Amino acid sequence: MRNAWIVARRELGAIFVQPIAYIFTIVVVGITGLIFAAQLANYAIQPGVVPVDLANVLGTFTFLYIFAAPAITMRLLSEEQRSGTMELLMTLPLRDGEVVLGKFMAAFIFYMVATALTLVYPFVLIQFGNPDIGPILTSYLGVLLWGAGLLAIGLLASALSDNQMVSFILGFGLILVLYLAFIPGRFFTASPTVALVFNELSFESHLNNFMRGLILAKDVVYYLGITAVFLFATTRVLESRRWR
Amino acid sequence: MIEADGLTKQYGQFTAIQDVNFTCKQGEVVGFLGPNGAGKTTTMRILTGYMPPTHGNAYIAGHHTIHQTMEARQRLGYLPETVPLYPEMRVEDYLAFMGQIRRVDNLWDRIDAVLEDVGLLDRAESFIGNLSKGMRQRVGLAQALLHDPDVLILDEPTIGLDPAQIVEIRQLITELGKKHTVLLSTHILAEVEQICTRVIMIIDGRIWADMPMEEIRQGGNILQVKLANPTPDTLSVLSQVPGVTDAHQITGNEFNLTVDGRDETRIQVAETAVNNHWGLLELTQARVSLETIFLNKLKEAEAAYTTEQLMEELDEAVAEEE
Repeated sequence: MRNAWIVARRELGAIFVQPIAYIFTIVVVGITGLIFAAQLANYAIQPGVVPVDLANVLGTFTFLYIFAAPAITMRLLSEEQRSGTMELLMTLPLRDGEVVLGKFMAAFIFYMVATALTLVYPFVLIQFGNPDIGPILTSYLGVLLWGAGLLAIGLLASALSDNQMVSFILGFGLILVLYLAFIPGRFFTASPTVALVFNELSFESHLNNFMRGLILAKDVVYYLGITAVFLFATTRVLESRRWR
Repeated sequence: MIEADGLTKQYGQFTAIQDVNFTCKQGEVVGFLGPNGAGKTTTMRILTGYMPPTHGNAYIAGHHTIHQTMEARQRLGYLPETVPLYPEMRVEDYLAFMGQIRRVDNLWDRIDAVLEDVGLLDRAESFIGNLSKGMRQRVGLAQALLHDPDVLILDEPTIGLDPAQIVEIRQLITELGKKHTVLLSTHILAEVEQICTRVIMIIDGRIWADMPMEEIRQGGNILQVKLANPTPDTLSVLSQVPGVTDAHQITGNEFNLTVDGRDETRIQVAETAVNNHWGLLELTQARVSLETIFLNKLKEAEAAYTTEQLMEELDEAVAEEE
């Protein structure tokens, strides 16, 4: 764990000089800001008709991270493999799992910073209104779990290629497949069970409960499970690189 | 301190190294020579635990590189062929990162010490990306020395350095070699003659020579014999002349004899040639340089390879006829 943290700290230093991660964060936070501002303006003109809903803002935030997450993770392992520093990491007294965990922690901390920027919106709501705090807290828990899953998937893609662009596309593709996993279920109108299975597989379906103020075990387990499985797979991919 | 025990590495059908055996003791600076693609880097990567061998075992300071990999890695300093650096980091931060993972005591004093050793103390706060190739090479070396490891494995440590730096780094390696075990690969044979106490040659994935530098420096007189009409038994007759320890046929009519250096031996060889009517054209005694040894071993390996290939082709032809 100590080693993973050393790796994460070094990586955070590198992420903060990396413009792509910045640009995506600014774009995402900017877009959510626009949506929030539009809601506020609408409410100011027609009070009470459409309530200001944080779920809209955070929904957009999480949606945009389908693109932003693989952009953050794409260089994490690809760049090390391309530049030859992977050979160093793999001959240091450092386990492959610690490398993967350190990289993940760095990406997740970066994601948390971006998430923290959106705290401005609930802060504004609390200042000028009387929102229900419960759903806000559960929403943010959902957002963090969501991000952990996406970043773990992106990290696997990064381990699979030494080309950042390939890693990005691969990561985006993997995320999209999981995100849209509910679609095949739509065609099984005859069997609600099958439809339900596909729906539960989908990355997207597990976020709604958090947004509505519900913390369900199956949703938490889903995101943590995805994170664990993909981090484990990433470690195995790194290990297998040694055999080539 | 370094032990390679029957190392074999196969990439699919291709055998990169085959049955590589050697041991390097403490206080040795071992030069690892071989043409490009001979398997030097592969061997080094196996010794560092970067990749596992297909067969065989490797030990660093008595620790198995796979089963006790953390212990082995902790005692190892490694400078890979492509110097592993993070260009966005400052030199001192990079070394601090390495030192933290390696749990170096008094880290910042140690960083200053190694930077002084490699002559980069004034560039400690520079970004690695802004350094010249030679400087980066020295940062890579500093990284390998940082934790004062028992074993140093250096893949072409002086590449890209200017002549003055090369001299400094060689002195540093010689100094390190007194306490540590150093295995270094290089293409500069003069470098090996200067700083190494032993030479291992690898050609086509196999070890072709493993000898102490002493042997190369003192011994090794070679008698180059050129004959007009050698017969098929010339080689065996020459190798039986008293004082001749080894004989090789270099080309059709050129022979290299390893001799003890006494005049009698030379006279004997000349008389043998004359008595057999081989038509003695030339007889030159030369001190063996590492270069000649290296080139001779290459020719030997080539000859062995050609024979092997011919035998294989013959086998195939026979099999086809059957």
